[in-house]
Amino acid sequence: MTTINLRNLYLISKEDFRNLFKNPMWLFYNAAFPFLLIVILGFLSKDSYGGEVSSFDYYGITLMIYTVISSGMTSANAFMEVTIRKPNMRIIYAPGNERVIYLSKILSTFLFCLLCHLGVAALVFTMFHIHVDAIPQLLILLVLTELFSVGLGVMFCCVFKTEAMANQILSIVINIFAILGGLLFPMDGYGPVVRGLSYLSPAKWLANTSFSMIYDHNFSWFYPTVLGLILATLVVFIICAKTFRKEDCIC
Amino acid sequence: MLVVFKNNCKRLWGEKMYLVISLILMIAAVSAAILLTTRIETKGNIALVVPDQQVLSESDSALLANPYFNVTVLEKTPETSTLVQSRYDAVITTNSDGNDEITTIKNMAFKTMLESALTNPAGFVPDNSQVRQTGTNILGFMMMFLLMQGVLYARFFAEDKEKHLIKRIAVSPIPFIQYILGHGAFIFIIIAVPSFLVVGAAALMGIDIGFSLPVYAGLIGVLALLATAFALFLNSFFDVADTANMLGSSIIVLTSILAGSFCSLSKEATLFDKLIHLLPQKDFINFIDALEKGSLSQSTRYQLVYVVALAVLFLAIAVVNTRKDYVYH
Repeated sequence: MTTINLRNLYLISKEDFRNLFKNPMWLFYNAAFPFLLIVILGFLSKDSYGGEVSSFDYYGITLMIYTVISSGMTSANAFMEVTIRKPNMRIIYAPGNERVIYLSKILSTFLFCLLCHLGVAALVFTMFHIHVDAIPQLLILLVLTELFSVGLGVMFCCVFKTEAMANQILSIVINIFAILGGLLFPMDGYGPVVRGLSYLSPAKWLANTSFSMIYDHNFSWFYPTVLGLILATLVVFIICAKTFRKEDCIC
Repeated sequence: MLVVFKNNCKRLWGEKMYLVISLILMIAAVSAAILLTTRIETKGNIALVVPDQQVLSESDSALLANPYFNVTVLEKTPETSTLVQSRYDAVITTNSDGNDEITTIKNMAFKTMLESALTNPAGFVPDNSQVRQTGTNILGFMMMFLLMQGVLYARFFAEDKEKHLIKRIAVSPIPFIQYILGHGAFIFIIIAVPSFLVVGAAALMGIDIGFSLPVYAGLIGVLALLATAFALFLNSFFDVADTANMLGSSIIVLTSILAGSFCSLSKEATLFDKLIHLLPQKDFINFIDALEKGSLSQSTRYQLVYVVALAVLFLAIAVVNTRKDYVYH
């Protein structure tokens, strides 16, 4: 990456970032929806918990993980949006590397989602006094997972060339992982077979890591999870680089 | 209507990769639903902490033999995170006086139930009325995926709108209602047929799926109708496919969880609980739950009628709304 490319990346990302705020749908999906989900689910299951740990303590954490792994939907849709196809044409003609097309989408969506999710987390965690601990480690996990899932969304677009397919795959895979990993309701109490199956889902590892850090101050899961996330993100970026074709992003 | 339907099939056939992948995902989602739900055990999980060289007390051994609990004997107290994640519903430790002490993060009702099971194991019968059976569980898990598929397969309709093809259709001799119903028929079939085939295959393999196959056909039909109607309803309001898609999937995830399609959330008859009955998913789940337990009443039958009526209403709104936007009067 030369200086000119870095400058291009910065300029285009800035424009993309602004563009994301223009569509109220992205704001709804990344800020209002997770907030509603946590509030409603937390209130509904409040009665089945006693005093020490509230339902918000569980759903606050798991639904934040769910929100973060769903940010791939935002990046996939922002990357292949119809309105940015003409600007993409200009980028291709302009001097510099055309890879900034997808790198800028990853960067801008990453920042946008991170901003929304941190806002939601700060609001919800203070509103309902959700018990958190090991905040720096949780933030590291949040940032890495966000980068991975945003990259994943763009990767599916690069591999399959169409937004429809990326949407189809992402929405089903994310929700299967979320249910298996017990993000939408606790899965661990459903017997040994289900418990074993739930470890197939990466969401389960994230939830497990977070909960053992928060409640047991046990960091033994943290480093493997971070390592796994970094490796997975690298793989996603390499696949993006190999399969990206500038012809797919223009009108 | 048939023309639109056939044309959509050809459009889908033109994207074989998309067709294959979406069918695989559909099959994966339905199989995951069957696989998971047929292995669910809804017993209470209790951790019994018995340090070395300690003999089990009488009530503890009675608890171990209790068929309603899944008791794990541990040497050390399990970590709090396992309690938070519902791995164990309660931990029983014996204190220095030899009495049992219950630690749980669940509510008082659960604690009293466990205490009564400890003191009077013979006369203990848990309240099983909330526990669902296999068929209800399978359909509950499938429901969210089927509804989401509807929104995703409505993309040909969304594409027609996004690329303004619909303006040309509006001036063509084809009646608008037939055009929308053609899209509807396409979405309905592409949702209902593969999922029914997976369920059928599971039944052939000898897996207990709760209902008989004709009943499944009817129930999946109702779900697919609801999914189709909701997808067309939503898409009739937006010109951009992304918006309808993302809004649709968030609404579906939220309402499906609210309606308790995976596990029942609220038990008391609060105002909120009554409001939840407005959600078609809740009524559908109630109906199949009653159907499976053989306790159908007039009101549960009306709940199914409500689901179908709501689907028809969605379709009608979709037709009227699209016609309003594109047909000049």
